[in-house]
Amino acid sequence: MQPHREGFVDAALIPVGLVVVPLTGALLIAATSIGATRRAHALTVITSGINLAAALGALIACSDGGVIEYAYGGWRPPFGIAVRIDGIGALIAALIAGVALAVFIYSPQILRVELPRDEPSFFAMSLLLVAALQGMAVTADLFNLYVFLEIGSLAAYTLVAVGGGVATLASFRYLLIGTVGASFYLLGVAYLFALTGSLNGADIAQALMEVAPSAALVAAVVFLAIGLGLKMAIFPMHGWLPDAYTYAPSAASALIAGLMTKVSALALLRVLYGVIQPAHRSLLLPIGDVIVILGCAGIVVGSLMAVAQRDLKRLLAYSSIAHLGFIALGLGIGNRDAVTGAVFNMVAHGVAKATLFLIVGGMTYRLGSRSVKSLAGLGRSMPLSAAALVIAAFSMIGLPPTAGFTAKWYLIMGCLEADRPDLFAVVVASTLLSAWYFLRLFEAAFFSAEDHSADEPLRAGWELPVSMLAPIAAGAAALIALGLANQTVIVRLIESSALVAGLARGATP
Amino acid sequence: MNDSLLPLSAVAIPAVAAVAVLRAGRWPNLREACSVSAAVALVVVTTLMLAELRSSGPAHITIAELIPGVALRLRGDALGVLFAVLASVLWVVTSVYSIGYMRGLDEHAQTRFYASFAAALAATMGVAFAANLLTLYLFYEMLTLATYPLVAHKEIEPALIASRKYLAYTMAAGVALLAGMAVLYSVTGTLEFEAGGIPGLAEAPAATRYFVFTALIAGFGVKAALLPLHGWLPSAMVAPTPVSALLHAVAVVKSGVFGCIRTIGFVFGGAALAGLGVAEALAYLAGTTVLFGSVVALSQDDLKRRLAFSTVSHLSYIVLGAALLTTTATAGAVLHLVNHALLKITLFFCAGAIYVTTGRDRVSQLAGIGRRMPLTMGAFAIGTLGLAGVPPFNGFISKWYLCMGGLEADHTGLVLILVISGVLNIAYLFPIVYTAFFRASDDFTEFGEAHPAMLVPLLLTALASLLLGVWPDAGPGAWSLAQTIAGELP
Amino acid sequence: MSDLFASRFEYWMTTALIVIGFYGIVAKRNLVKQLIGLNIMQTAIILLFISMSVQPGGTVPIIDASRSGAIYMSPLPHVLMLTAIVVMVATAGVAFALLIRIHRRFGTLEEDELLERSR
Repeated sequence: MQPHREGFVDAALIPVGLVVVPLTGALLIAATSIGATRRAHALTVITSGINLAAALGALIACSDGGVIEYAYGGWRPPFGIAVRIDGIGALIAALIAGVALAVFIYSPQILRVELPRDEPSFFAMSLLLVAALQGMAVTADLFNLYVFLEIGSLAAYTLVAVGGGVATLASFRYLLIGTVGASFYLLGVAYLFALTGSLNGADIAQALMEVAPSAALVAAVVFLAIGLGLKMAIFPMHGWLPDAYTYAPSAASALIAGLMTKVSALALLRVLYGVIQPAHRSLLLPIGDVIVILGCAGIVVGSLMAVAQRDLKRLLAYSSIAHLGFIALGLGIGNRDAVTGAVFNMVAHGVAKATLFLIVGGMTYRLGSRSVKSLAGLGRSMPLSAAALVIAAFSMIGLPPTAGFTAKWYLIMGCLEADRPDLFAVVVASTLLSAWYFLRLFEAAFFSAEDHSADEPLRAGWELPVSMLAPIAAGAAALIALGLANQTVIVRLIESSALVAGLARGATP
Repeated sequence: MNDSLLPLSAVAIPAVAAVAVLRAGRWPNLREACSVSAAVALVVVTTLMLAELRSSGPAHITIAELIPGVALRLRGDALGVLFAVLASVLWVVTSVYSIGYMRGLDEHAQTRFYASFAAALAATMGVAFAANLLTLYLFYEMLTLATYPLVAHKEIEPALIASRKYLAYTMAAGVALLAGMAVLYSVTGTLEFEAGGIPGLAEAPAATRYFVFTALIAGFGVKAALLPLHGWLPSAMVAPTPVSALLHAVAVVKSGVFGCIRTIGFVFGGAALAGLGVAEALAYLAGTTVLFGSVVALSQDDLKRRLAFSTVSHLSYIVLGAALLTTTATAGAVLHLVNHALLKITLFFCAGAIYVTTGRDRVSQLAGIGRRMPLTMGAFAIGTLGLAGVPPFNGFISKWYLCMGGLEADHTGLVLILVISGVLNIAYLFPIVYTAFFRASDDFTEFGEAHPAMLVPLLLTALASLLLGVWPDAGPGAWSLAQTIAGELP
Repeated sequence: MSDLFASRFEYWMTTALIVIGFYGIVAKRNLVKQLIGLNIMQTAIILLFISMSVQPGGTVPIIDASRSGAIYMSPLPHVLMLTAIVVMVATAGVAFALLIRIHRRFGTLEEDELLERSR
């Protein structure tokens, strides 16, 4: 453990704000506001507002290498469960809080259409999901991570299932695969526990220094990687994702697609480079190689599948698989630039994908359809949403000055430093693949011969209601802001955190 | 030197104009007023930048650091300012011409057309003033995406196919640029343009330099329509004529050429290219393209396609000049960048004016038209002679310097190609002029001269070509700028 | 790992259970059977954790001055697994709720028929 900071107790406010507040909010809604949509929504927005404030507090406290440590109930590790927030954790916490708040501001209108009468339950489950994700982002305890992982997953299963019909089936598959993933993760934790007798990340890391590299350690890491790989939908463990994203209600898709997989990726990053010691990395090198290969395969397969889709949500789901491939690739390469790129991509892709799902939700709301064809005339009927679509797509393709470019650039540098021209080629060429399916959307949105904008839309008026448009615009603006200010984020939050600072530049050993 | 807002406003003015055009879509007169006034304002800005360049050196501004050590940065050096002045002046002319053309044809989606046009100009300004490769890449991609709606404008199947082809070529080009840029950055740690080459690159391994050069030239070569990469340009002629005139003869294709000059002179420089042989290879590739474009142009019946192949050929004149790496050839190349722009825009304006007035777009349908549209065809004749390099038109001077440069560099074969190409120019363009004036025909009795909104711009550009032929340093002083640029490059 | 397994036959048992459970999830075409497989797998992992805490001859981990020097069972895995059981039960609860809704909607829980009917 690092020495505890002075002002230990004051820092408690931040983890409480991050995890306990949304948890309480969820319970409060379930207890008091079933059937009272307005109250439930007000509670949700207030709660996630506090959540965002806490996350911003964490951002400030954790920049330039700062760390917040807190032990629940004052039981310090290795006995108690500890929270440890570094720059990366704070960044992901801010991502979660920001996306959640945007989605919650956005959702009442669309929920009235998609889930009439079930809105309060939706808000309660979503807040539960947020609490769990925040818990995963900040916890220092591997078993605690498992618990939050499962709480979040359970919330996600129900959020997918409320779509009804086929969604229940998709949700059940998601549940099966997700639980298998969590079980594998738990199995890996069991091995680590057997080897070191501890569950606290830093503590295990300390103990592992004395443990000779062994097959049991390899098994532990393999199980952890498979478990988290299933949760973050690394190819070929992505089978659950397209259906789940497609059939979930739009607001839930934005939340789950934007955040769920990223937090699992963060957990994988912590395991691979926070818990496992550099001394053991040579033993684990093949695991990194496998992750790299799977990442590449995911990039190619995900992109190609996305090209073939007609349903926008399914298209976005496959593009998620491709982008998770990018993240996996960065984590697998494991030098400083590659991991920085992976972490930045978690944020960039999280924001971009949530924004895109919100836009598709807006189309469903306004035009009553979400097929690629129904994009026709979007440029005329919903010009601002169409502009946001363009910006988010730029980020997904990786064009400067959006956030997606930064992520890709660091990944490319990581490939070059690792002396892997093959990976370099895949990452660079993947631009073309993602450009392919997004430009197809542009063509449909702006130049399609059959223009539906003259047709009677589901709802009249210019553009979406402000409460739906504002979160979309905020997402698009955030992508550009992140792209322009990327050096601040990277230097002060990502590279300054011990996890990344400890990684070698250049080729992996 | 302090940060100057001039380069930023050069990019911002057309960008704001694009938004204003979209907002003013319902009132066509207001919308066109936006376009024209933005164009005029842009000329003022670029002229001011030229003045600043002459008085106190390049104006520059740093916006945000995009990757460690490389910022989004604009800087108006001689080459950039020359290109920006050229594009902005021609934008004014084209804006006026567009009004005549688009209204004459009663085109659909005019708002989108004007907005995309302004956006494309914003991107062109960014390309011109990019102070480093990353900024150039950014605006180069923006240019692709801004011009895509213009190619797809007609929304009919051939237009959509052409636009997809355009995107496939240019996005692939973007990937090549990205690859070259990444490797370059990993070797030198910077992407900042430097006259005479980025320091440290000359010491890099030959294989690395080879890869970077090939990737960058492949990337820029797509827009510059170098031989195997030229396929999109003739297809893109499906766009409305003002687009072909300003973008596919000046802004877009010249951005590619501009990028090639930046790569050769400001990224590599003679030292880093020495011993690689790639510059010579590029020169011969360009030479081949010159001949290829001219020969294919002979057989095109569609007037705009014929002009497009002529563009393919003339763009390679410039690349060739830059690749020769001598001061004379570089000055000739830069001057030809200006001269070809004026000549080709005139020719396209004429083609468009003929199409709007008579509905004809084939070479074989134009016999006798000169008697009905003497001014238009007169301008066309000036363009033809200029492109062929006949004195006293401006094409002569740049071609002369290109040939001199070729002789200095001991590439007699390339000089021969330039001469042959001049002859071919006459062969594919002059018959049009000849039949237009000297073949009698009753086809055109009901038509008169083109609408003044189209006629005045094309006469202006034709006169400008003539003026620059007699007095190459007229106006912004293209000749002295070209010499400055060439002189900076050791 | 071999020494770890040789000394602890219960590891073999849990491994076998995990494989059985996994087989059920992958190979069975009935959703309830898949869920049963999942439960077997989770239970196996719980057993694995518990078995790690066992000390031969150990007693309940209550600190008692009169029994100083006695060997205690490690309490930590037990506590953890209480939580894991809660998680498992919650998962099963959600899964059953989903199954009920699937059955109401499609009238079957056989994967093949579901595939057909959900088209």
